[in-house]
Amino acid sequence: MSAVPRFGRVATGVAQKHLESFAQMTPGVMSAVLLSADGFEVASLQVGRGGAARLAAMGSSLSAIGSAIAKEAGIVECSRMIIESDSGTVVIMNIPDARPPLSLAIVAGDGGVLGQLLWAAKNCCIAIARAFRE
Amino acid sequence: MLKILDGRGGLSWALAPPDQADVLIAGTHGDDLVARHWAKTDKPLIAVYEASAARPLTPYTLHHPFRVMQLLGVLEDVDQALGDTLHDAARTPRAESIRIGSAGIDFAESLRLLARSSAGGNLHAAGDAATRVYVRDDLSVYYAGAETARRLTREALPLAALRLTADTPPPGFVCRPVLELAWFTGWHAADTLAPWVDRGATHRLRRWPDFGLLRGTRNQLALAALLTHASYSRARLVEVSRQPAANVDRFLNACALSGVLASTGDAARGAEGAGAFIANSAARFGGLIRGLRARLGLTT
Amino acid sequence: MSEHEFKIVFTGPMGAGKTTAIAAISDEPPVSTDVVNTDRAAFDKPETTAGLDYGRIALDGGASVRLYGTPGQLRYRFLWDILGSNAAGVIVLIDAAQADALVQLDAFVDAFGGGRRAPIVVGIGRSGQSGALPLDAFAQRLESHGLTLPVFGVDVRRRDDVLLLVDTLLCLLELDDASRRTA
Repeated sequence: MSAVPRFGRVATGVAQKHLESFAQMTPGVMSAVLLSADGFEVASLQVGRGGAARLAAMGSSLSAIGSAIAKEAGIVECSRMIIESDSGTVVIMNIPDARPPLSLAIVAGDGGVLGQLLWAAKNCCIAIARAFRE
Repeated sequence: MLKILDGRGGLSWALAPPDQADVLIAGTHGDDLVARHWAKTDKPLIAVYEASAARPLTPYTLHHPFRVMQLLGVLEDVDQALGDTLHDAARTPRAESIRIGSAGIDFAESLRLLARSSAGGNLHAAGDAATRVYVRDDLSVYYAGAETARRLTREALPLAALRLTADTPPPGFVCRPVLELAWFTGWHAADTLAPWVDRGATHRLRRWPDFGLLRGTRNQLALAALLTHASYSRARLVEVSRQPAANVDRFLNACALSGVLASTGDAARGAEGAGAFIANSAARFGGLIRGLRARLGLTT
Repeated sequence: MSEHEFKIVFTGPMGAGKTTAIAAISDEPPVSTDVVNTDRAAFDKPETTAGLDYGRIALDGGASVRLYGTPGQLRYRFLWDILGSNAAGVIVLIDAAQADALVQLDAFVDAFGGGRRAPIVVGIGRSGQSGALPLDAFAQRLESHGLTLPVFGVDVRRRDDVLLLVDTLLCLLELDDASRRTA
């Protein structure tokens, strides 16, 4: 299901590094998948192979549905979606101006602070965006 | 055989020489002369045929080996038909009855037999100049003039039996799927059950005809839907579908000629689907289905 | 499911025309979740559905029929299950010109219950084209699995063809429904 060559080896490698440092510096991060808007895994962290592919497909669906809801509600663009439960959080964040469009799906346990997670994730997205624009 | 029958049917039957008999039972290996002479009369013939043979072209057939109950069933049909004939004679004759030897039926039958012969890439043709129709023997396509192709979807063409030909279709003839020819030939053949449909059998669809090509009507879709779920005898199908008998007969004629109908056993033995399906019942979705059809302009 | 609405699901592989079919009969332009297609090798078109298509037909008296389109790729299988649950009927669209069209037919018909959970109608696109599989191949395939499903050659850009698929589904639904009630 992975389609690495399509997204460029260099950019994908850089994105992988950014994911790793993001996970190291941010408490609570359990796994993360960088995914294309049409549901392919681009880079992933700490998830089994099948798991990353599934998370990529599901994340892209949520992102697409989120954008449709935002448009319907007249708030133009959905930049991130947060799914919260008692035992953890899933965040899906769009990578700004990436071509092709990409999103980052992060699964975090209940150990972290949501604000801190979102801030770190946003910085990670900006760094990844740079890699995919260059 | 008569002894076994004795007392089990509504009528008593006696053996008689062919020239005095009301009904002839003949096998395919029987005396052809007798059968041919018989065919000139209006009297019913019950044809007995083997598993591997094509179903004979008569309304009454028995598939060998058969059970006594099957023979009784056929004899009852024959009895009913003889009774009808007497009544009909007193009233008006049937608008469109089937006569073997009439052009449309011969054409249909030759098409049906083509389906059973092996394909050699040859063409068979019927009709004259303007209405000439060519059929490829692998039953993939047929060729006809554009007007003929249009006409045959609307009416029965006066075509004789297909014959092997060395001609090739003239330029300008259109090439269309044989399903179209078979379906409409069957549909327009008669408004009673055609000889190639076993009137004693139960029927179900082996597969759906391509209504994308044939532009199926609502009634046809409803009949096909019924025959998807279970096997029905012709009589039960008329009852359950609540459609005119002529509609049901045409549908069965067309399905059988198109090779999409699976006909098995005899209806008398209860092989029919449970009477659970009631078309158009006021059901859970009933109102929604009607509403949706109305909104989409799908009302009949 | 509510007494006042039901849903019809349009499914099938990428490029078979699900979004087009829904647009042909929906009251308003359908909500779509099309995204950039990065897999041009699988099907060469700029966009593909990642979430769902959603259309609606409002009926008199406040009732409505919901139309859902699924994404076509196998990786979205989880959405097929979500969208397929409680569907009144399923329309499977297959592109006869795609190389693995028969495998796709099997996959989608199987994923949506083979017509046993809810009626299935199959629409085959481009079956007349040279190089494409003939319609018979699809009917035969289903027959070999013991399935008798309607299989029609259609062009979903024509509204009449989409209506034929829907009308057939409704005919099957009427019987299904009647049988469930009397069972």
